[in-house]
Amino acid sequence: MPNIAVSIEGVHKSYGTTVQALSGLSLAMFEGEILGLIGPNGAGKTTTIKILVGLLEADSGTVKVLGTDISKDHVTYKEHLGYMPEAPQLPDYLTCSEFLGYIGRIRGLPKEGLEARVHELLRGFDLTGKTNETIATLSKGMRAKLAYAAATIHNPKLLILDEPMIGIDPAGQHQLKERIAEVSKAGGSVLVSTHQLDTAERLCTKVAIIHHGRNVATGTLESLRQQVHAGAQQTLEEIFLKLTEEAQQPEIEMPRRRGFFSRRG
Amino acid sequence: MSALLRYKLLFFFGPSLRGKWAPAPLIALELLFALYGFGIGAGIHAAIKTGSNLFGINILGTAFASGMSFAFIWALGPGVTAHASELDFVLTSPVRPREYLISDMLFQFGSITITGGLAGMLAIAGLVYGLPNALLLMGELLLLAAAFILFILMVIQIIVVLKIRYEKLPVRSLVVVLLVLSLLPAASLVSPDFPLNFSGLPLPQTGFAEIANDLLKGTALSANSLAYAFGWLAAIALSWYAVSDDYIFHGIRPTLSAGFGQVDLSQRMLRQRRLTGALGGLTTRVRLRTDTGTELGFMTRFHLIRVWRDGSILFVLLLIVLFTAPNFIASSSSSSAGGSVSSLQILTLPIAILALNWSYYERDNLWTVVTAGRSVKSYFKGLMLSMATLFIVVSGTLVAMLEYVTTGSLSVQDIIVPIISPLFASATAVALLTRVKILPGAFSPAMLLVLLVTVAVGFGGGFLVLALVSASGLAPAGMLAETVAAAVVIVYLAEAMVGKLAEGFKL
Repeated sequence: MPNIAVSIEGVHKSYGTTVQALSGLSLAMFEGEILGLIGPNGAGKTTTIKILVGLLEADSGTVKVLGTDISKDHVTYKEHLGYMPEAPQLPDYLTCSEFLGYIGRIRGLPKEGLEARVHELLRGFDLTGKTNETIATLSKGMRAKLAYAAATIHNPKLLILDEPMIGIDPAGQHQLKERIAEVSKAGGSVLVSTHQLDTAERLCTKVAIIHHGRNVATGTLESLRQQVHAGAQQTLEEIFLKLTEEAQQPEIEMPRRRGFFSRRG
Repeated sequence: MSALLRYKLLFFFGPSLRGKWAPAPLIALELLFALYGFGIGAGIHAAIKTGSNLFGINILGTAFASGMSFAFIWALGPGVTAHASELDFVLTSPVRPREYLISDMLFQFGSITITGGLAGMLAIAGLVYGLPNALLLMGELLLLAAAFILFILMVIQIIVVLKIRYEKLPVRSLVVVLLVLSLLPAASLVSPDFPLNFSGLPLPQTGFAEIANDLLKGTALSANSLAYAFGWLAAIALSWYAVSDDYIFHGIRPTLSAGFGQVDLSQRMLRQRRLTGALGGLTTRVRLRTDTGTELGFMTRFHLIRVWRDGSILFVLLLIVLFTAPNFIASSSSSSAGGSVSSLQILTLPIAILALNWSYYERDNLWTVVTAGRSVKSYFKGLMLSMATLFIVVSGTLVAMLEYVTTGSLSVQDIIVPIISPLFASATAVALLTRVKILPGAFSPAMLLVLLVTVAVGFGGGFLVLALVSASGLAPAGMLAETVAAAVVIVYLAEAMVGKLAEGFKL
């Protein structure tokens, strides 16, 4: 049985007093898996990811990444983590090679060999022609490739990607999917949040459906089909809609105790 | 037309008049610049009082030419203000181009008056201070300034119309040539042997400068200067009338994306990206070596490269020219540069502005460091050292230039403030950045906090060290050693403080 890469138990997170982003989310992901985090807008996918990478703190619950309770050690686990945010902010003034070199330095990669690693990544993502051009001159797709290269420069054990396919052309998406699969084949784990259900269906070994800040269902496509009693022909989209619709059913209202001032009737 | 003007004014000034703290931050900022306005006026006054007639015309001509150069630069860009909704709803309605241009001209005139009026008035007060009939003189100079602003606004609109209507004509190149030519005679201020000076040239700025000079010196207005100034004004007004009803709406671009004091981050990011991309060919010649140096050295170089590449340095240089020009002008007719050197502590203001710039554009890039499992200590320490290095180099250069343009020589005490103030200001600005998140709203208290505290601590720190070193009563060599020791101690303590504060940084 492989080790657990990510374990989330009963996590709550709210923004202010009105927005409840996560309401007791629990989730487990094993090493070597590609887990797709899917859910409608506002379901809590990005909040979950930001908690995992340390950009947000959970209000309560336990989060373990690669065996480390991240509320106890906020920093060390990140050495093995790669992260690509949704619409990544990049320093436009740096050239592509300088940016990857900068990330390499921040990641503590040895200075010798850094240049070779940078060029290897640039070559791998067809960015060699842009080596000495500033990021400001890159197209949206090229920026996404560069951000992915930065997230993987240190060969992380766990790669977390937030909507990585947005704005990338089909060829670029294909290239990125191949890269993600390679990480998994090499024993790494990938957690990827996406709206594109066909991508999740083809790329991920497992999916977790998040709705209203809770994990509605986790499993392989087959196990989810069984869970909703769906036929073999049903797509992830249909399963997703069924599960999120079920989760949306209004709860039966429990009879409330009448308050002293409550109106009768 | 009045509805359009009201809409523009409400859009632009509305945000700074609403909100919990409004309009206090707007007033505070106006007062800050107003004081500086008085300083400029007083500096020019001192220079004119002691200098010759020719010198006075050249100084005032340079001031008017600076105004024109800003107008040319603005005209090379959009030139006309337009909110995106104006393009959708106003420019598609039956509004005459002339009506639109008049409302825009009144809006620009009103905006200049509201935002810079107090500073301008105090600059003129500084100019006339101590002269007979100062109040009357002030009124006359204000009218002259208003006429000049009207003149340059019409010039801007003429250029905009020509740019849009005659796309194939080299209008932009012509404006660049005019921009250079209009400023060229100002070189005579630094080098008196320069063959061109404003006096006698049939330029609009000469006309306005000669009238202002005559008014300040109490001499009769010359027919020539009146003819230059008002001849140009009339000619430009006629030209404006001739072209102002040409259809230009297809060439108007949305420029007014945020109110006064507000930052529209998405628009500004796009502009910044375009600027960085355009400058890339030039600025990437200085490379960031990532495979060498210590972590702190690397981060310091990274930030220096950042301000070099993202255009901040251009902005800072422009501010420095603006802030220091009066000092240079005043010093060029003086035998002592001491006072002018001390006033270089105004350079703490660009440090605060660089800090704000970091907060708007660079803060979000910090996800790369925060998610990498590395401390942000080196990042912030590097930011502080880069700011301090940049401004010590700038101060040093300016001190050397002042030493060159004046006949007297500088003492050790004269250079203490320009060296020490940037250290205090950089440490303060970066310490605040680790704790204060500045939202791109209109004049937030956090923004003013960074602006005012950085400047105040920079000022105070510089003068404190000056007082301590002066009190020691040592020989110049001893004072120099004390200053260097103080700088080392300040950097050491500032690094420790910034490092400690950075530990608690939250993105």
